[in-house]
Amino acid sequence: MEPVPLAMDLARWHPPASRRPQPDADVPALATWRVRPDLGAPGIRRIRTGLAPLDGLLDGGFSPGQLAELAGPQTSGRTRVLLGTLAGVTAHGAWAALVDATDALDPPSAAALGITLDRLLWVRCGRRLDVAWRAADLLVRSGGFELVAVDLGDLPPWTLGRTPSGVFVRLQRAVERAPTGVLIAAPRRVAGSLAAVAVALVPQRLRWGQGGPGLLAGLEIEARLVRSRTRAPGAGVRLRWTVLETDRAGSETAHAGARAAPGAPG
Amino acid sequence: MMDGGARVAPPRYACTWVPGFAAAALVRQDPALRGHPVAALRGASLRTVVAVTGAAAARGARPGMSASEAATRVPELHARLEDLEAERAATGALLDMAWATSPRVELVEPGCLVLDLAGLTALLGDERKIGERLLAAGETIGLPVQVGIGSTRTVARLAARLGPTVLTVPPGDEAVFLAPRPLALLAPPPDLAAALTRWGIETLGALAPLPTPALLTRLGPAAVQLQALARGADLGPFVPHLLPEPCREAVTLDWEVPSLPALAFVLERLLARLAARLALREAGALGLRLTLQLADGGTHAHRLGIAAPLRDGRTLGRLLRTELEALRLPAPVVAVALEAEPAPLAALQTDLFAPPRSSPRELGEILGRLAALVGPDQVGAPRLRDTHHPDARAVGAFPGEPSTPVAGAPPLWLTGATLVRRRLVPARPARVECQTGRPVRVEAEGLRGPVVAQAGPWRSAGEWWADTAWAREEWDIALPDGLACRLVRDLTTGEWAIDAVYD
Repeated sequence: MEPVPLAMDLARWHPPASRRPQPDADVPALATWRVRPDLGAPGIRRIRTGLAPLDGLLDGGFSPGQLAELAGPQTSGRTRVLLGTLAGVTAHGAWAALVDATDALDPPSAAALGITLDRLLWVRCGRRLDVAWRAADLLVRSGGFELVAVDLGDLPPWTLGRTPSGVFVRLQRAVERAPTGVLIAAPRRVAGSLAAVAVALVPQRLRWGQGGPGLLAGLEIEARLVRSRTRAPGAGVRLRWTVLETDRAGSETAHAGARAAPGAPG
Repeated sequence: MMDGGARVAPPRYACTWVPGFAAAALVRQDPALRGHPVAALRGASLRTVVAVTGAAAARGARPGMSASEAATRVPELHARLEDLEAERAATGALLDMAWATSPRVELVEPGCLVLDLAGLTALLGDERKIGERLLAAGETIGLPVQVGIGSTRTVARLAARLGPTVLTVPPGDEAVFLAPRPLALLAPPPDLAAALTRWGIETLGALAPLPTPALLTRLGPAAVQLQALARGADLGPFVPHLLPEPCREAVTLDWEVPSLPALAFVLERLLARLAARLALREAGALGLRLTLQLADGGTHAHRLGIAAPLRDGRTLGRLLRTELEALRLPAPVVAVALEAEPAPLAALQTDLFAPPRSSPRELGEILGRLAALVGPDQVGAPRLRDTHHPDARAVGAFPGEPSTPVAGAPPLWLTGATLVRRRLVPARPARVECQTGRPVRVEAEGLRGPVVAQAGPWRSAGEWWADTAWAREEWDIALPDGLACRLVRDLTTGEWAIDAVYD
């Protein structure tokens, strides 16, 4: 049997975009493509988000050696996707770094989501964007982190727009030589064409609970692929989340304060 | 019955001795002097030689000479004033070298240590290997060490003074070893030495067999002590040096250095010596304390915190330069001291199936540079504090202590049934209109409008027993543009703020 050249072998897993089935507007993209979330190209490691439809949209997850972007306004699930991806990285023993431009990380939320905190390096930048980029550059060049996430939080567009494009060129050059993935989460896209993958998150519907521990019961959003080097952009999936209930359950037994039940008199 | 008692091995000692210690300390401070004849001088106007290096001794310079006589005998002599800081640092380095071999070390005199070798041969090999290990360590710290090994501390000290490298006196051979040695090796008092010379006693072997009572009667107790030493006996008990020495290196500059960049090469030398000492301690530096003596008599102290223990001299140098970039001094620098805060190196267990991680050195450098960039308390692993306090966010050392995984349900990041909070730092003060105790309209920076949905309140309080007491009320609210956030009211002040967004 004649050995299959590597390029052909990879092509078998990555058919040209023209031969792939095109997503129907009414049918979730995941159902059309039938891609297992943990199944990317063979031999290529993926950084999973943990959300099966989104991983399907991304061919198994984000790729190391690439710059990826998550763009979305507040309450669009952007932080949920970011922290979920960090949780996936730390869950299998790797180190991840979070460059937190606005000090927005809520460690209890991160821990409840499943992030192994002792493997997460948290860099708090105090709303200094230039410091955040320099920190990200240092971390990417170190090569010891599987994922370097840059959370730009709620920085206003005029601040984001002041980032020189050279920052992204430098970051992209660094990451393509490193076994590291870079994921930038921001209210809007910032890296332009230097990002290999960009996902836009658009909130669709807030769901309100009826008498549960919290009023806010969940969120439904649409994740749309707006840039990809491997498939035509435009495909989207719907994601649904419910509110983290452990926060309100008050199940902690040893703490320095006391927490009253909902609605209890103060 | 005493037959079952464990046999106690006869004691063995090693002595490390640095010839011309004060001069050797000067050479250690300035490696450019290595191989040259160097003399350490003492005195203000009439300077005398207190120590010389081997190269100077070979050319005829001796301690006790005047500086001019030594310079006449050795024209190429480098004569420097003795530097107590350099000697202190060299003593610390010698102790580090000794403690890297034996836990029981006695500081006999500056430049001379005795190590108890009990039980070490099983760990480190035979005595010859232990001696060679000490020689190599001496080379590492920049001091020309001679090693002697014997059954008593006196024999070991005498052997160290005789051998160019390692001289081992086997057990039982002490008398044979000592007999031909000149009496001058014991440095007897001059009058006693003159009396013994008149008697024709010039070697240890001639003094040792003399009847002790007669010696005491004729020459006094000093002669008895000298005889005991000539027989190889120890005059006192072994007194181990217990206090850990500070890991400190210092240099007094021959000239005034006006700017910090010009100090870079001085700091490099100090850091290289500190790195060698940290390596002997199997430790890294978790902090560096820099003390600069200024020409106007002032002192400037600076501490560099390092996120992870680190001992690579060049990396430490980069971190220190980054830290000092913005420092401006009122006067030139005349002396520099650098002290490391030793800490065990972070142990990283590699995993065959886990992705590769940075080495401790690389990680320490990265953490150090990040700390210089954002501040040492702003980088690390997130830490959960055992409290409901809203600002209970903290960072700890990275990587943190591994936590115990919780068995059972799949993690939430895989189930998708979670929405997380994003903190707003600082919390945005808000003006809130309430009806029947419930918020109906909110105004804050970037947020304004009627509350379309709400839930709450959740009240919490804590630390009521202290000045840091807090009490607050939380509401989940939704605004017309779809923003879901957490509205909080400080129950002690009644002020409202938005401190988190659901995202």
